[in-house]
Amino acid sequence: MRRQGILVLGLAAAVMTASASGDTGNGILDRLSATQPQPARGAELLDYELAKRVYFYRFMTGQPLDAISGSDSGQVLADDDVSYTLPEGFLDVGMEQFAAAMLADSRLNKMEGLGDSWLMLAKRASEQNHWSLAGQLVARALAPTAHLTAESVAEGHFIAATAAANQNQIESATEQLAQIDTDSDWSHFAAYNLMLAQMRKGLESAELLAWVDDYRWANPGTPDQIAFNDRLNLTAAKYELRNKRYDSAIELLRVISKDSPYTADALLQYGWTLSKRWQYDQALQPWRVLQENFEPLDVHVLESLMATSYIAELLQGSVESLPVYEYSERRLSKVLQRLGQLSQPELLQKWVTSWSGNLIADDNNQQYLTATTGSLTASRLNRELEGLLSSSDFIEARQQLADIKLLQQWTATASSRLEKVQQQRLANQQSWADSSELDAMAEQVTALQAKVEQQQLTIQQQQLALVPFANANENARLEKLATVHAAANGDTPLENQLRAQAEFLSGVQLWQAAKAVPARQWQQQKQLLQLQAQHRQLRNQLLSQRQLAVQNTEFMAETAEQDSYLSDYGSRLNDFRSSLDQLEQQQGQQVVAVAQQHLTNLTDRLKHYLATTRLAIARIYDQEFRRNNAAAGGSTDHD
Amino acid sequence: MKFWVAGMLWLTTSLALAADDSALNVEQAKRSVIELNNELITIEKQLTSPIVSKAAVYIALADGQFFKPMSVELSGAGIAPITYTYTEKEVQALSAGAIQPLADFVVSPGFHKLRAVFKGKDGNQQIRNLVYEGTFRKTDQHLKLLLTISDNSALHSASATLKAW
Repeated sequence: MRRQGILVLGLAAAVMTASASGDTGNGILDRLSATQPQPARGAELLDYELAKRVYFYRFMTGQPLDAISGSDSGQVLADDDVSYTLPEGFLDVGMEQFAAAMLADSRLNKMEGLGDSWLMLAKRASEQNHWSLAGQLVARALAPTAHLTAESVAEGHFIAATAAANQNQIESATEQLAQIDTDSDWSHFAAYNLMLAQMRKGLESAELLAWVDDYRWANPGTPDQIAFNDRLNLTAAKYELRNKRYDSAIELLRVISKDSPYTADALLQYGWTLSKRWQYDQALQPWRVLQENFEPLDVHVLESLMATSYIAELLQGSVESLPVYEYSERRLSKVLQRLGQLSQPELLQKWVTSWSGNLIADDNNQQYLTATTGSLTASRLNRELEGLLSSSDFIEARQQLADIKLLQQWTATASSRLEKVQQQRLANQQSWADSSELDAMAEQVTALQAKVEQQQLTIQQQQLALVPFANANENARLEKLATVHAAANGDTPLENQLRAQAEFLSGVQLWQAAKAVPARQWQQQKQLLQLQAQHRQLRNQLLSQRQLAVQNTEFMAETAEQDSYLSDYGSRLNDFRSSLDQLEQQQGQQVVAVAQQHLTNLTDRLKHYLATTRLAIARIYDQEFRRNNAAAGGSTDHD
Repeated sequence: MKFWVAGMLWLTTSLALAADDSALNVEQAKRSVIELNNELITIEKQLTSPIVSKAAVYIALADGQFFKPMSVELSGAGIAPITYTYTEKEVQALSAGAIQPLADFVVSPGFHKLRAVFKGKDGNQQIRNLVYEGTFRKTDQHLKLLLTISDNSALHSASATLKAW
């Protein structure tokens, strides 16, 4: 059974590899069926049902790793009911390609009720901008036979609309949008994405403003709704700015709230719009607000600094413009200095290490094999680097690094579990080799047996006695009476009376003793029964302990083979850990390289603007020098 | 020995570190974790002591209208006491028909007493204890014991039963 279970995983893994290389000719479940155990007899069927229900317990209680790889899981992974949930399980452990390969299988493809799995895959495809794939996957999720849960249908239509919009299929996207309840968040999100698609095709100002009016929240009640409105207005404003419709852009920018995630960008765009209207002086105002109220390394602040230099240049400024240039120059210099510090590979490496070491290291996280990375502290360094490195390629590389870290944590846990097994084995072997407990128990059984025999003998002797079960007093009294009777052997009246009294008293005593026989016999018998019960119980215990000892001995006979297997497993675990260490190192370097590339590009741009600013400052000083010289009647030449 | 088979199969999952696609590498590593975890669970179950000397206790909830467990305490002669507290998600899974593998323990062949005390809420949301006391017989085979909490509609209450699976 277990071998078949592993084989199932092996085959599934093979399909994943085939899928990754584009070979989707073999259906995983066709091959799984060939290895699926067919329980024929009652006991096997019961075991099978138990394994299935245990699988579902783990699956439903957030233990996807143990559900898939539990010791009994192998025999049921190919079961229809189970394979129905497997894609979701593989998605849970972050094995998307594996899940996709399973869903692509012809049998699962036709299976009903997989809506949630299709939807999750569609969501992940859309997160990776694979719009065509996302569209295909969500179409399956939305099929009537997929039985997508009601609350997920709107999200499904949103993904469908977004996928269509991103492929510039406006009609299809509009159809999908029409199917979402207009009060739903998804309707607004889909409308936003459709607006972007329409922008790409060219949208008139009136149409755009009408669209914005239709889809912004009329009375936003939550921070998310406010943020959505801000984003809608900002995007529309940028579009209007690009199309030189500055008045409309300004109207859209003015309604953006002052404390939303889009405020910085809105201030930047506001300045740009004013500059496009040749209102250069006014344009500098929102940028100054931006520069003084946001982090110096905020990307919008950086762009506003570059823009300030650009505008100052357009102003063809004289000495009056010097404060603007110098302000810009000072800020750009500081920023470049800071960027220089941040670009140091050692610092980046340290940051990546500290950040990736900050994962939530609990068992639950290990069950999902995909890291939670939302636990950065609000330090200046974190804020700056998080802001500067928010590109999708960096985030993806970082997530993979986090996942590798999590797998390393798993190997550490696995090593400690293996060590515990080995310690337990050693303790068991020592305990099993020590037979003193069994010997002591055997001695107790023998002692009890002797007591039982002694009791049986006592009962037999008592039954044969003249006065059965008489106590010592009674026997002494009878003996004394017999002595008196024997001593009064004359024929005197006194002796005759003494004999008669002794006979009478003996009779009374015998009668009293005989009366007590049943109770006394029962007491003795009861003691015997109790001793026999104790003996039986202890003997049974001894027998079962001996059986257990036999089982343990048989188990120990395989010690060498088991030790060898454990050692082999330990080696493979170590090899795996080494591979992960190597993978982690590579991925860490990749993350740092991506970060450095981003920072270098930014630094180059800023350096260019700094140089321009400094040239402008030099030019102003030069002009002023010439003007002063000319006013003084001197030569305009200078060094 | 059967373990070697699993070991050999695992070899197919070694990491291809030379590949450029780090995402694929990470997924392959996860696949290896699944296989290694499968082996490790089996090792823990079968290589500390003979599997035939063990008994496993499972918990099931039939209906659950008159009793929803919050925790369980398991004890018995020769059995180290076991206590488990349920989460809402776990109770939901049990209500849906899933079975919880509660514990494995070594027990010698023969008759043994088992006592389970479930603390939970009854149909009126009152906290009460549901107690099961009984005996089971361990043979020289691995024993699976299923403790089931079942509703008794006539009495508007629940009871626990034990059976060897």
